[in-house]
Amino acid sequence: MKKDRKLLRGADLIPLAVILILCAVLFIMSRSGKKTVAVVVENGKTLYEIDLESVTGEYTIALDSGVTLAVSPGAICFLASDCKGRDCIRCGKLTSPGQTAACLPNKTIVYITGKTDEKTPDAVVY
Amino acid sequence: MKKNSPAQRAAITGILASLAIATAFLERAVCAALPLPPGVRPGLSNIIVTFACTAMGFPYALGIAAVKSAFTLLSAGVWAGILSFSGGMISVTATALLLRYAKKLSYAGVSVISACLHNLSQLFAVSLLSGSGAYWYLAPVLLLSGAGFGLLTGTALNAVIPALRKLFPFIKKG
Repeated sequence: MKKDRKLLRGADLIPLAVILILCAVLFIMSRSGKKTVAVVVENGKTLYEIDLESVTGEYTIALDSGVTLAVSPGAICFLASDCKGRDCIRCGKLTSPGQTAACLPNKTIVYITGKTDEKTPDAVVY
Repeated sequence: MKKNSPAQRAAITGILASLAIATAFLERAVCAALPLPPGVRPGLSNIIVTFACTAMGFPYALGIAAVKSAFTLLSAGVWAGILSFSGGMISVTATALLLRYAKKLSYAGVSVISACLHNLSQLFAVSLLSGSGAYWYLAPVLLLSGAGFGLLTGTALNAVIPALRKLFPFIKKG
């Protein structure tokens, strides 16, 4: 009679290793760069690129999608949203490259990336 | 009733589908209270779907995943429904193929791969529908959580299989 599979096998290490290496590469790539820049994307279009290190005070950004973002020195977060789940707000503050928060119902995504270009402006509005 | 009759299989499929819905509902309620990154879920219903795949076959598992997606569509909205459907179909197909051809993998290994493919297919669906590649910034987090939770659900499946076998002693082994 056929037996059920064992709890763990040596072969399981292969997919785990591949995934961990892939994660490490993607994570290092997203962190590369000197400046911490928050990118705000709505409906597939990049609306803002904010250099979080140059932010001195706190302010909010209200988007057409129904989302309000809060920007503070070194951090950005979803402050309010008219979506059902509020997962975006629960993501909390994004502070370092590689961190991402998204509001899928409102098609809005915010992620932190590292920029190498020293001439990157403090904030760009499209 | 004749053992392993179509009626019995239909009844078991119904029980497993309701279990998948119940675990998905419970998971959503628990995750709502936790500050998890977007898209990160333990995927507890994966235990039920993988069991259905190994014990009853691919079409039954696909049906259970589709029923669970329909529940998500009705209870959490269109976006959640689309993501659940795209992730569910890909992960069930991957699970069925791995159970059939990757005999050296344990349930944990199968769950890790199918969970990661589930998350990547959701990213692909979101990118396609929104027309933006920005969502791929979530890939490292979703891959890592897929590996971690896949390991967890695969191990949990190993733990619950003896109990499920007592309930359904006639179903085939995977």
